[in-house]
Amino acid sequence: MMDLLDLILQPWIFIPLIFPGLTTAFLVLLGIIWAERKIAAKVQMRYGPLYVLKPLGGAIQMIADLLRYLFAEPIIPKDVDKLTFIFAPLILFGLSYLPTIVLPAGPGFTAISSEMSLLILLGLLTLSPVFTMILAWGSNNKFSLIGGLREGYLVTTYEIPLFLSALSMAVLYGTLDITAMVEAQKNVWGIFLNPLAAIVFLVLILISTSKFPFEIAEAESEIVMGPFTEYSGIFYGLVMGASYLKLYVLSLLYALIFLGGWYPLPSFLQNPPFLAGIMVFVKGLVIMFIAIFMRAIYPRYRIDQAIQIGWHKLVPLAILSIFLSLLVVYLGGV
Amino acid sequence: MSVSELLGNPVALSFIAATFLTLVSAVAVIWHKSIVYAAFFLSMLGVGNAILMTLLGYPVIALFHLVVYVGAAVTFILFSVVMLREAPMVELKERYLALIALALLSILLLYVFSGYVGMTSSYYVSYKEITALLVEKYWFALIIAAIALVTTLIEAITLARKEVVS
Repeated sequence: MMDLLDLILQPWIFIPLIFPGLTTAFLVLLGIIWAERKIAAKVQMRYGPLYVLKPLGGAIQMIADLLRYLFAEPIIPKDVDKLTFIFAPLILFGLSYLPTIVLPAGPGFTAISSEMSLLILLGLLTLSPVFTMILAWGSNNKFSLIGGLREGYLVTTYEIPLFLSALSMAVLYGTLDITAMVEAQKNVWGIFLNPLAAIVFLVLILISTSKFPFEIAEAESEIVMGPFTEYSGIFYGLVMGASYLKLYVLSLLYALIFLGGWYPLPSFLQNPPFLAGIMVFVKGLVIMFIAIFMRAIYPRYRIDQAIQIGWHKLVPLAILSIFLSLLVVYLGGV
Repeated sequence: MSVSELLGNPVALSFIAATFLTLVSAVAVIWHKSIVYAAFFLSMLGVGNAILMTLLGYPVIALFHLVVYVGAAVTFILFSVVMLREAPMVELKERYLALIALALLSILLLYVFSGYVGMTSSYYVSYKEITALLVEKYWFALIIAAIALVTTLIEAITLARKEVVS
């Protein structure tokens, strides 16, 4: 039994399977969608999810929804491209979850220890839009196609400033290793050293994960469910979960490179990295709550407005954030 | 190398898997009649190439290959193809032509790299070394590359502005 526990606590198993990997990601997925619905309902003076475990405000509504997705028949329309229709959601979900493997759960507690972990994470994040567009094409539906095209437009908008703002922090800390970046924030958090990059990155999290006010690719009131219109059953669960997983990964990354990761936890509490992991998780959760809270308070931008914001405002701001990082380095660095 | 040695060597296994993925994807890119599928196989080709580059000791180049040739290029190809609504099918004649080009290119690459057979990379190049090399030794080439990129950017802006005026 102890051997099994020791094995599970090995970082190369713990990180992909427990935290920040599969188990935590799955629980977050269930919790965050419920919270999104509940918060939006509270703001709009409704009850929101209520009847599934009424004493806790319908807290396990998503488990009921998951069971429904699991047991509902996944309908595969006659005219779709079957291969892409079935496999693209699976790959999309897997690729959205994959970047968690390079995230550290605590000091020195990493599954893949690399001097370029930030670059690996960003590289893996760029792969998922390909499959969103493939499944949009494979669905053979005009709403899906329009949704896929909108996703394509948004990719061109958010990818460059996302990379620039993340890399501006790499310039600031002088490393591409996420663990080393957290260690560099021991005294001052990245958000205070380069607030410009922090703001740009936060907005780009909203764009890249299709959250309000940039929920443009899925836009329920315009194009049904965008690229995912034809999906039902467990396939719908997968494609819907993919964007929330991406939000989870980017929120944890935000917590690590801008919010000090496991700091201000004193060093004697950092090992074993249990509390450090919780600290990172709580910070990530705050970012996720900010992202889902936007649903309740903002309307949706049009696609041209989003692209304009991306190219006219976020790209110049991201470039400026690199210069700000260089200035901080010039003045003495971290 | 015996089969048992091969099974116990993750690097050799990864190399074989990546090579298989790369070759199959390369043929599928040419042979598949649907351009959307061809673009998908192009992305798999990029992934295979990135794995091979990592195994050879160049993870920085592998990552940029992944970001540029899969994340950006395939996204743009798919974006353009999907926008056409009816994805064009490739004619059989063109596919034969592409296959002949692939065969000729393979022969050329075999000829070029035949001198390196059996040699393995024994070092790891870190991104800091590459940056130092670029900034200190190849700074002029870097500036030229930057100017070339800025020129492309200006061209793109000019084209976009023209479209608005017309």
